[in-house]
Amino acid sequence: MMEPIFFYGFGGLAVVTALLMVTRVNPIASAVWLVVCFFAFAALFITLEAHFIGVIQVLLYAGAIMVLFIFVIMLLNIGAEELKARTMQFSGLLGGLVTIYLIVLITLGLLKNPVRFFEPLTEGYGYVAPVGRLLFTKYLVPFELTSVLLLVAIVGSVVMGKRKL
Amino acid sequence: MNHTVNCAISVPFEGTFPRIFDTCQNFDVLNNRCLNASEAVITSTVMDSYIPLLMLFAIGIGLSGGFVLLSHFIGTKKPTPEKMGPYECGLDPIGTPRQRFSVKFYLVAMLFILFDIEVVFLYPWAQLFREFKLVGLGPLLFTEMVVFLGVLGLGLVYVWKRGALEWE
Repeated sequence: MMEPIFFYGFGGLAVVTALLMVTRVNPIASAVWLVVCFFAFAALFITLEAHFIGVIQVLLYAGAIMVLFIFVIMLLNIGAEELKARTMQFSGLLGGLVTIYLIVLITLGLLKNPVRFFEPLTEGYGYVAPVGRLLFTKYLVPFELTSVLLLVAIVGSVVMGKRKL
Repeated sequence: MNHTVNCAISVPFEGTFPRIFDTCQNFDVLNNRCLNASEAVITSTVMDSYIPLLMLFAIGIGLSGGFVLLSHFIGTKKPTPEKMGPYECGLDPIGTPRQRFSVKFYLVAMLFILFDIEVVFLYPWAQLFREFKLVGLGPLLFTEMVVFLGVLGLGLVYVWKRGALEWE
C-alpha cells in the first residue's frame, strides 16, 4: 500500500511548513506558509479516510479563515521597523522547561492509561455521503441549530463592526 | 465511465429510516437503481480519484516553479536604479504602500466566513439529494435545507438592512 508514504509525507510537510510559519519574521510570509500547512492537513485527513473534513479544511481554513488572518495582519499594519526578529530574554531556558514539562506530562499520561487501540471504523465512514446521511437524519436538530448559531455570529459581527449604527 | 457508487456502509440509522442503504451494495446513481453483484464493476477506489488532483498540484508547482527558476538562471539581468524602484503606474510612488486598512474589510471577511460555513453544508446535501429522493425522503431533505437557509436568510436580511454591506 502507498498510503503510509502519503501519510508520513504530508505529515512531514505539515510539520515543516508549521515550523516555517512560526519562524518567519514577515507576518504575510507566515500566513502563506500557514496556507500550505492547511493544505497538508487536508491531505492528512484524506489519508485518514476523513474526506469531508479534508474538503472543509480547504474550503473553510485555507479559504475563508486565511482571508480573515490576512485582513487582521493588514489591519495591524506592521511596518518595516517592527519587522525585526522578535527575541525574548531566557527564551531558550523557558522553551526547554516547557518542553520537559510536556514530555513528563505525556509520559505520565501514557503510563497511567495504557494506549488502547480503538475499533476501526467501517469502510467509507468519513466520506461525504455517510457524514451527510448522519447529518440530515440522526443529527438533524444540531444541524438546524447550527443555522441559529451562525445567525447569532452574523448579528454579533455586524453589531461589533458597525458601532455607529 | 463508471457511475457505480458503493453504498455498503453501515451507518447507525435511527427510527424508521429506510434500510435500502444497508442492503444495496452497489447503487447506480444515474439510473436510480440497485445493482446486483454481477452487474457492478467497481474499477477504482476512492483514493484513486485523488490521483488527478495530485497530478494537478505537481504540474502546477512544477510549471510555475520551473519558469521562475529558468528565468532566474538564464535571464540576463542589467539592474538600473529606475528598474529596481517600486513600480506604480509609471509615476514616482506617493507615500508608503502600508496604509492602515479600514475595519470595513474585516467585517466583510467575517461575513464571508459565516456564509461560507453555510455553503459547506450544501455540499453533502447536494450529493445526497438524489439518493433521498429515491426512497421518498426528497421533500424532507428539501424542507431541512429550506429551514436552514431560511434562518441564515434572516441573517442576510439583517446585514442588508443594517447597511453592513454599504461602503458609504
